[in-house]
Amino acid sequence: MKILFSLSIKSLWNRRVSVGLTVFSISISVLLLLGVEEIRTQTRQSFTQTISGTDLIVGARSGPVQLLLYSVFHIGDATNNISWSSYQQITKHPSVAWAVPISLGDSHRGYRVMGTSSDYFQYYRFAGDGKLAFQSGKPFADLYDAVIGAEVADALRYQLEDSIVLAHGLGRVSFTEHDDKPFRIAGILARTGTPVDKTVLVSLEAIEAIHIDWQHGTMPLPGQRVSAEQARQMQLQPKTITAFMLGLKSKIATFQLQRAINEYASESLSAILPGVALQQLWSMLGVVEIALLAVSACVAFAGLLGLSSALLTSLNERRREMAILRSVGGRPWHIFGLLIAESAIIALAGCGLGTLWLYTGVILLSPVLQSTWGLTLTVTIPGWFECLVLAAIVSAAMLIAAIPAWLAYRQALNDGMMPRL
Amino acid sequence: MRKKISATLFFLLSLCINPVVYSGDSSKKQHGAHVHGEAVLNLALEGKSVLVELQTPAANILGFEHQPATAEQRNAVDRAVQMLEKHATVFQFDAGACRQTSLEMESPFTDDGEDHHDDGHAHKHDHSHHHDHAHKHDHDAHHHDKTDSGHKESEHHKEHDSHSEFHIVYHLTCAKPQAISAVEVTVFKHFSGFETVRVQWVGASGQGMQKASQSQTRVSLKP
Amino acid sequence: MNASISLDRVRFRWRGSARDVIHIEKFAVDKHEKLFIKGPSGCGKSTLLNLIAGVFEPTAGDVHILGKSITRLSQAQRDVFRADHIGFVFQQFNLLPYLSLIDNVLLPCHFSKRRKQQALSGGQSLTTAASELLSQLGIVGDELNKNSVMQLSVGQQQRVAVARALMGSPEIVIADEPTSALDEDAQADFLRLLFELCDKNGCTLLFVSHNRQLESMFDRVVSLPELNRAGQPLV
Repeated sequence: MKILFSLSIKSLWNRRVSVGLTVFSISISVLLLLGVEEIRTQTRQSFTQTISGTDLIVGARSGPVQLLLYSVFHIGDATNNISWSSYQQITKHPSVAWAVPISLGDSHRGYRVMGTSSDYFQYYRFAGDGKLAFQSGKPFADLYDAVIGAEVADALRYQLEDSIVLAHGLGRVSFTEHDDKPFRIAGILARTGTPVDKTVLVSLEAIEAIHIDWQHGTMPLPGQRVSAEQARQMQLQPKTITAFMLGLKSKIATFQLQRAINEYASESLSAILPGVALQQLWSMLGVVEIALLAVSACVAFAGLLGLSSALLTSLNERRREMAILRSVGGRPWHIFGLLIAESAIIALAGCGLGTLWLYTGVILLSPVLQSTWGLTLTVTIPGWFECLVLAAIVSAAMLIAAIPAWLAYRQALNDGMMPRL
Repeated sequence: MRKKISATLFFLLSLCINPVVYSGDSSKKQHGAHVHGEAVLNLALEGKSVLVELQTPAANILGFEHQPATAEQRNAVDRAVQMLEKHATVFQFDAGACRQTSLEMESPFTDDGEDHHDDGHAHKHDHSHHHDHAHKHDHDAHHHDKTDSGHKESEHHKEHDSHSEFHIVYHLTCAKPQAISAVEVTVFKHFSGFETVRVQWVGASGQGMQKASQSQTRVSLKP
Repeated sequence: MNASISLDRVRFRWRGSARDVIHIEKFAVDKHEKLFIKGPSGCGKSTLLNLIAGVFEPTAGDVHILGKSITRLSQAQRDVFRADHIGFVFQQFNLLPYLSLIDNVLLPCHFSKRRKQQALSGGQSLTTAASELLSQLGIVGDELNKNSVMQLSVGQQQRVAVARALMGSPEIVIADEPTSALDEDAQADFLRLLFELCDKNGCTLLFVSHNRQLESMFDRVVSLPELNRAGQPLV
């Protein structure tokens, strides 16, 4: 009925302050529900796109998710390093097509430093078949050359040939800097949307060189220092690395090689399938996601209850209004419909506003998320999940409004046209 | 700020990861964890060749894990081995026109005249090195009833000795491998001992893992 | 039959109650009659009006409106019947605060096709009909264009309520203490206008009040406590 709709719109507008608050609370729950889903899907996409084309990742014995997180995403630390000899022996396996070593542990102004070989630039793949490209410069050639990710370059305003000093450990402010062996920026990578953007890449030998005079992780005594030039003359083959990535000649061998590495006799190693580890990560995060969704659903429920109670408390002061409607020919079910319509309108407005919040949030926050997390949030057309959530909220609002609507109906019948106020 | 967020995320992550790190290490699960009802199915696809391996406690297939004592039990072992020689008993692709080309099977209790009786493991093929490891991990990751710390030592040994596994590798050739989009885990139909099968796959489109169960036997092989 | 409203052995009691609130043996209002019903509050005035309006159903007896027994109608039919044939003016707060003057006056036309058609029968639009009615009641110019009815004085509000009650020319107008919020001069003015328009529309007026000063202006006066055999209900 048209009149019901126009009456409810006008009636709501008349109470716009309290209705506005209700709309606001519903919009917050819509924002939460949609936001959690948005972040969930985009995080997954972002994570999934970070590594591709690598068949196995090998590190010290640990859980697959942990190994994946520290080696590829630079989240957390390795439990242990692995020996260079294990690396060499495994990469000699006939199934292995390529291997890229990774050595982590140092940092530069909060960004991770990763020691690797120049093969990294050739074999690392992201987002399907994406290959690392250079914005400017080229891979490290000299011992004290560094290649930096796009985010590092942007945030610290670095350019080619700038000189940087690496710090020992991962603290943002480190007191133990390798300032005796500064690096020259030889290349800047193009943006990838992966943790590579936030990484400083140097050669494995460079990692070895800056630690060559260190004893058990402590700074060298003044008399025992080895200068940058002296280090060049020394044996710089690393003794340990953090992990390595493997590409195989044929995927058929994947599981056999994985088993062989897991059973490697001289050292406790773990070989993981990155795609499988990612799945495990999702199933773990699934619990958190469900918890977040459940909390959001509770917020939505609370919002709807608030809507219902707002309608309920307004009933008494609207008895006169209902009586007037009755006197001009409004039927009890008109009163019922009026409240349901009001509830639906409030919920719709809440959904609209919540969606607006979400997109505003995505637009405003995506640069921040991109730089801190490498998370790319994009404005997407609402999918079936979003539509489902919005439809569910509107239906739930109408359903829950049935309580005040029914009471109003009863009240309209009992009051007749002369409510005893 | 960034630091704080990272720390929070890492805290959250470690909350959910830790139990897995210490209990469900999949590298062990690959070849050692012996949990009745569970099994691992690995699929590797490269061009037209497909390799599929099934690793499962014998109990899932036979219902017992001791030396067959009666003629009936011996028959059961033979029947199971016969069935498992056909890959369709374990899995079937939705498409791809695949044909089984060869098979490797390590099965317990099969009377091949080999001298492996004493430890409860008989093999059609010689995998002694591997076998030793499996043996060791059996011990490490024994999850039979999830309260293994409460086991009496003698009981533990007895059970450990009696645990045994099937390890079967199927080699297939597929005429149209690009048509394969999913695998149907058929083993649930044939052996009631299976509850969940962890399906791990690697192929041209990437890698993935999904758990199949009696109610969800189809596993998509798309990332 | 010349009666506009007639009640025949009507009894009413609340569900679960053991005593009648209303017990009227015989009561009739003629067509075009202006009837004054007097009585203190709590003597069953509201209940009587709800019975005549068909909002409440009598426990026993029969109510005829315009020759039709509304007790034989369903609740839904009674709602339509009421909308078609009866206009109401209440004591106070007659208007929906969120509607404009014109929209308030037009309300009955949204619920009753019959009144909408009658309002349109003069050949003008509904809005014109409403403003014409309002101007006959002395609401013109600035006041007419006011968007919020809450900006009107109480007297003006009551006149808008009269316009709404008369919109689409219903046969019966029921006014329940419409003047009690007005001062004495305004009361007389209001009544004069109400009578004038009722005469013009040829409608029956049922006017309920406890203010006996107004009695003399009516065709007939009925005392509800005398009419109602149920006596004084417990309040």
